[in-house]
Amino acid sequence: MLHVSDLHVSVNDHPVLKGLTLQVNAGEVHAIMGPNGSGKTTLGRALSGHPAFTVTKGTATLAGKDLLLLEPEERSHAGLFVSWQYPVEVPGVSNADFLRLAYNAQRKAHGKPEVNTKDFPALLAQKIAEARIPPEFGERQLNAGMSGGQKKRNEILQLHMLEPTVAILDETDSGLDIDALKSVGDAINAYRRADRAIVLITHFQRLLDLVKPDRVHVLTDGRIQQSGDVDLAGKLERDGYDWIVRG
Amino acid sequence: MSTWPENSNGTDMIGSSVVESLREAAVARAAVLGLPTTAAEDWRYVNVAPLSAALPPHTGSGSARAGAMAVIDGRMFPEPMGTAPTITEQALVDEQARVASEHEAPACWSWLGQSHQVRVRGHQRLTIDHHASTGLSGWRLLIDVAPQSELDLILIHRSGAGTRASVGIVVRLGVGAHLRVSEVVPQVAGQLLVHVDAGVERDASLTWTSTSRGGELLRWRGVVDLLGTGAHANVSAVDRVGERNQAHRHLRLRHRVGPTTSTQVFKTVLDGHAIASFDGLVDVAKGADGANAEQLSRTLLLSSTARGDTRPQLDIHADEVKAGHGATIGQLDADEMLYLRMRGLAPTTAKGLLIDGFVREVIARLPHAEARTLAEASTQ
Repeated sequence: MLHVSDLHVSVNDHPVLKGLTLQVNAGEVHAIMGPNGSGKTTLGRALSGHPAFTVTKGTATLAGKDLLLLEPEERSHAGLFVSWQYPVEVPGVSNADFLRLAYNAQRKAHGKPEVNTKDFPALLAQKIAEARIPPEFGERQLNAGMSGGQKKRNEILQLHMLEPTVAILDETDSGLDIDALKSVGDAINAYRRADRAIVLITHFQRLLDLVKPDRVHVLTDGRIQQSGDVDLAGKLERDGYDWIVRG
Repeated sequence: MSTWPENSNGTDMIGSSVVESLREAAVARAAVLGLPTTAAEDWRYVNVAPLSAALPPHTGSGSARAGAMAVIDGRMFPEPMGTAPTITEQALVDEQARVASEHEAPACWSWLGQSHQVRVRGHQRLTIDHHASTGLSGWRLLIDVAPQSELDLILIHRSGAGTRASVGIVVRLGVGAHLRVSEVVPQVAGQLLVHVDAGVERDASLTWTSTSRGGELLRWRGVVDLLGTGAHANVSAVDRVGERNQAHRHLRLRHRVGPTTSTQVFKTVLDGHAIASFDGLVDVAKGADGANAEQLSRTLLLSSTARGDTRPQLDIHADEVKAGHGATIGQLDADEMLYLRMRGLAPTTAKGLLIDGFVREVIARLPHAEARTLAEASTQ
């Protein structure tokens, strides 16, 4: 589903990713772990088309589409969702208006009829329930005035609303209290489906205790240095990254 | 000198000899002052060229709808609160002093129209629908809210090209009184000059929120005096201006005593060759300890040919004061744009949503739902 091969990405001419290769199949959940500055966030940003992240070499395709040739909105239409580690606040824009426009943009891109303002509230209520977040999120402004944890949960709502085929969730577990982490874990599990794939970028095993990954990767120095099953996360929790960095 | 005083046919609008003498004083004062020029600091950022146009005098006619006052080409058709408003003697004395000291010709011009007073006891609600359809017009309103009373006022200005309307509003809020104003200019205005002068007594509050699409020359000037402890003022405005239109906001918010509180939020969206300015002063008098003032000005520039100027100022003479101000002039936030695009929104849709959000922050502050509906329809 998502194929990334020998990806090299620079930020301000500084190479961050140095030949990253990753294959995620439909129905799978992958976890990417790694020390600070290893390039985890860069992977998501580069795949989503952030202009500050320059791909200098390599390929990235989603269901056969070359992501690197597409504008950011076209990558979204192709089925890619990348959450932000620090979601931007957009004061004055209501969550409901934004979600309706984003949902209809997806519908339009796929030749489907748009949902009108009369029918949208029922859909929004359904998605809020799926995302395990309080109903009042629909009435709030887009991330504005929200705590760090609330912003992360708001992104989970976007995930459920937009229904991407590949979701890359960047440290979605950071800033969450214990109950919120459980809710987010449940919401991610609810999103799992045989025709969807999820990539969790995280520092901690706690999320992986809730959302069991099929594969765990360790990213250091711009490359995936080690891959394994869920036991690898447990070993990292106990032993850290030194044993991988030192080879 | 403007052709306004000479051209205006004010005679048929004079309600009494007392008013007539006031009018004469105002016209004389306006004649001495002459047309505003950019040499005056208050008019520095304004394109004053439209003021030199010779416009025909007003020809007032019209009718009021129930529960509202209509001001049509400077003439007021009152039907508020059951009785026609009248001007009290004391109010006229106050105004006489004001006319003598007005340093702005447009403020004097508002004396060319009728003057009325709205006296409020208890809780009242009033809509004033102001139409300027032809030529020159001016009108003046004194709002007197008695102690522990409240007024909800919706003020709508409608005018078009080739009109010049000067509006003077004097507000007196008694102890514990509250005035909530939603002021909406729903279409691009002609020349619209609004002057607000408000005095807020102890534990009284003034909330004044204003929205517009700008105009050939739209200028709003306010002076708010917080006169008693616990007085509060909340003044905010948003102008979405395009083409070659203008919007200028000029506010003097004076904390005469403390503790008193004030907040100001002024936002502008500029496109095309539009011109706008914000000139806001927070003035805290000596001894007004405990004053708390916040001022925010944000301008969004959507084109390289638009011009926005902002002058946030604090003038503090007291020792114990909390005061903050911030001012920005810039383009749409690149991260916000990217965030929306990454969720599938086309650049044009994302841009529109961000602009609407920028504007809506102030529209949401309009105290009355019907005003919010009118403002949203007109600014999107």
